[in-house]
Amino acid sequence: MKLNNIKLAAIAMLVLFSALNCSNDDDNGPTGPTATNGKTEPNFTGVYAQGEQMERPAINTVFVGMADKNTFNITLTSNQDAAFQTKFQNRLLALNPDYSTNALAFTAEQFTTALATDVLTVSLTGTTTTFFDGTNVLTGRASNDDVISTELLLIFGGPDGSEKPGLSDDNVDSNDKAFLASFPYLASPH
Amino acid sequence: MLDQEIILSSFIFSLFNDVLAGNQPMFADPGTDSFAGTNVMSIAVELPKSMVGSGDSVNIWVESKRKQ
Repeated sequence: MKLNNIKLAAIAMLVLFSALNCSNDDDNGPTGPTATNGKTEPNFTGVYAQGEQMERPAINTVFVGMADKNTFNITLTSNQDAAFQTKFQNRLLALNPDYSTNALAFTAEQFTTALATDVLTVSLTGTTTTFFDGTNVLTGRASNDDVISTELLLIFGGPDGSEKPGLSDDNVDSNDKAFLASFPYLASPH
Repeated sequence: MLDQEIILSSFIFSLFNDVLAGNQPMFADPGTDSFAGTNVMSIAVELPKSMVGSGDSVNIWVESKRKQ
């Protein structure tokens, strides 16, 4: 019995020293440069690696195969075309074997070249900011642009957008809550 | 531009994947917004156009980075 007490005491001491072995940086306060208002800013020194990159909705979802998701996410934007255009083109032609051109008059190669570099082109001079309204193409996007249906239309719709009507529109035409007219422009939470 | 997750949420995600996988011949009409009533974490940033260059158009994207 006495031996058990000693054992228990030893275990208790072991737990005490291992569980309470704190380092001295557990306050997690910012350690960066001092701002003009006197507050300490976050410390962003060091080397950072890209963990994820995206811009156009669902491009990664649709065109990047499961085995390549992580690779695509850490591929620098400037390298995406070289690394993924061919894969995107194969995926496009697998999704729609009848693909010839789309409503942008892009061939499969032209279209996937535009998509493989996953950036949103935003016009600084045009008056209309839209993903695709038939006239203005990729001059940006508005919150209520039906971007998924646009992408489906360009993948499945053919040269004039009339092919495969069952696949070229998801039939969900708006957000379930209205977007705001001023900053932050998103819908307020439910 | 930063609300893509909101837009992603405004369509039928599982059906979308089924269609892509060839398991569904077409989208239902009317469609069902399977994300209706849910919230999405978002970061909205507003800045003057002059801060992003002076050309006709710019390319914009978002990255998340991890300290090594």
